[in-house]
Amino acid sequence: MCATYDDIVGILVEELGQSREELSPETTFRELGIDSLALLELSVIVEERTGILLEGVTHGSSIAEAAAALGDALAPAAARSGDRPLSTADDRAPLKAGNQALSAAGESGR
Amino acid sequence: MRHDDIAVTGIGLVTPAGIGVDATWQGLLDGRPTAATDPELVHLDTDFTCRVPGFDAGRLLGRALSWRLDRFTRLALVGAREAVADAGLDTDDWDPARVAVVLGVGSNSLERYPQEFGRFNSNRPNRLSPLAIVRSVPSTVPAEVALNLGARGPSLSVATACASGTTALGIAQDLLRGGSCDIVVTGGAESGALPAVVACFQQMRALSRRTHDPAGASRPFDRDRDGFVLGEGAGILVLERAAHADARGARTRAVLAGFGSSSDAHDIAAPHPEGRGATDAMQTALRDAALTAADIDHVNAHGTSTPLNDAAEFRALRAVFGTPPAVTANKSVLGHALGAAGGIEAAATVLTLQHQIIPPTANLDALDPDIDLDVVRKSPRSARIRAALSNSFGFGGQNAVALFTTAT
Repeated sequence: MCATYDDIVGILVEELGQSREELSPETTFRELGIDSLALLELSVIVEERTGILLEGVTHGSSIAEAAAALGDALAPAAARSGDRPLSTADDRAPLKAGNQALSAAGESGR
Repeated sequence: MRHDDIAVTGIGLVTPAGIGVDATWQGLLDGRPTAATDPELVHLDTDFTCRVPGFDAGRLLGRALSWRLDRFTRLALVGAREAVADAGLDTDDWDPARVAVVLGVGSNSLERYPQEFGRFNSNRPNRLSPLAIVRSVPSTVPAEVALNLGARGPSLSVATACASGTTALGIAQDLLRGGSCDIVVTGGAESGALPAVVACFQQMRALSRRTHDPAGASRPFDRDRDGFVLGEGAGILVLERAAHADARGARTRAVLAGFGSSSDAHDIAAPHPEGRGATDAMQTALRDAALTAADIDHVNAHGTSTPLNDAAEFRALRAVFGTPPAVTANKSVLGHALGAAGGIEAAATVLTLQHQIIPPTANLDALDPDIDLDVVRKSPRSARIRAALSNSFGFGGQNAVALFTTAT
């Protein structure tokens, strides 16, 4: 899968307590028991790390669909800035290995 | 038992003495203080607390559930699961609409606020967690417990500062006597042993500053006491009308036979010097149980180890009893778990009645010469205990007293 898939999985495992072995591209957020606020939490973490507001993702979305939405949003933004990943200047931080699209926001635990 | 007696059929404890009823009871019997230097507090005048050891919420509750819970909810949930299992209840079999959850929680969880408000103050309001409010408000604690147990009866959080856990028992008793539910999961939970909370109480001059001797810092009724030690935990009880418990063949650990509450209407922080409100609450509990002072063989004191509380509580005990019965103060071992304390000490009182043993008060080396009490110290005391009070007094003068009797 693409880098954005790994990013979403990374957030689900590291921040939202999911087990990596239970995740696949076809898994939907509803199947994971991700409730309304947890989905919002996910989108805030994504926005914090990328500056991208994750739109159109619902409980019925699969992880692959969310990853594709993030990839689509990142592509034109990256073209504009000529740089990937996107991060605001004050949030810029060293990238995690294997996590090219999302940068840590300079704060651990979120 | 009387027809409106309330049976305690289950208890659950998560305390600095350990996770589970057995660990906490053993810790109390050993009289082993749990206060210790806390590495997170190195920059504070008071750098010690009582923390629940080895509390791995991911292992106990699962990471998929625990990630969104603040610590007070995690503590409550572990305690509630133990209490429900201890009561022999199967959540698949009970009528969920007849099960209530009433928990004393003294304050919002301040666990995440420094981080979240830091984002707010640095002009990043859209970086706050959408869960910031939901995970931190007191009502979340009973709400998450109800959600987890599938309990669909009334769900309430009760806040009367350090009396919250005991006040919750009184509300639970009313719900059961009124017939609006058959089972109540009640008690208290709080996680105040956090840097921000320690800093706040330190500024109130409420905490012990015995930094050279943390284990000796919580010393209720002792001449050299200088404040309380912040603790944390959950003390959960399952209550049912006695008839309901008998009908399902449940084991009754003890009986909640009476409850009394009152307000000092004196000062927003200091107790009334003569313990006026505390006296009223104890006398109300006695009347509620149709007992007299002579029927009470033991008092599980609020006993915080602050100079003012312990002096006022002694005067209240003298006013109610003349010569008070044997007293102990669990906070000498466990510290002060704030809104959870009443639930924890109620469970300890239930165990005292069941086992006919009073655990000792730790650190009582020299009784305050102005306090004339029979405080159990050094080692546990076996005694005939027919009925006992569990006292809780919140700052602001909110007092609550539960009266328990033996099961038979």
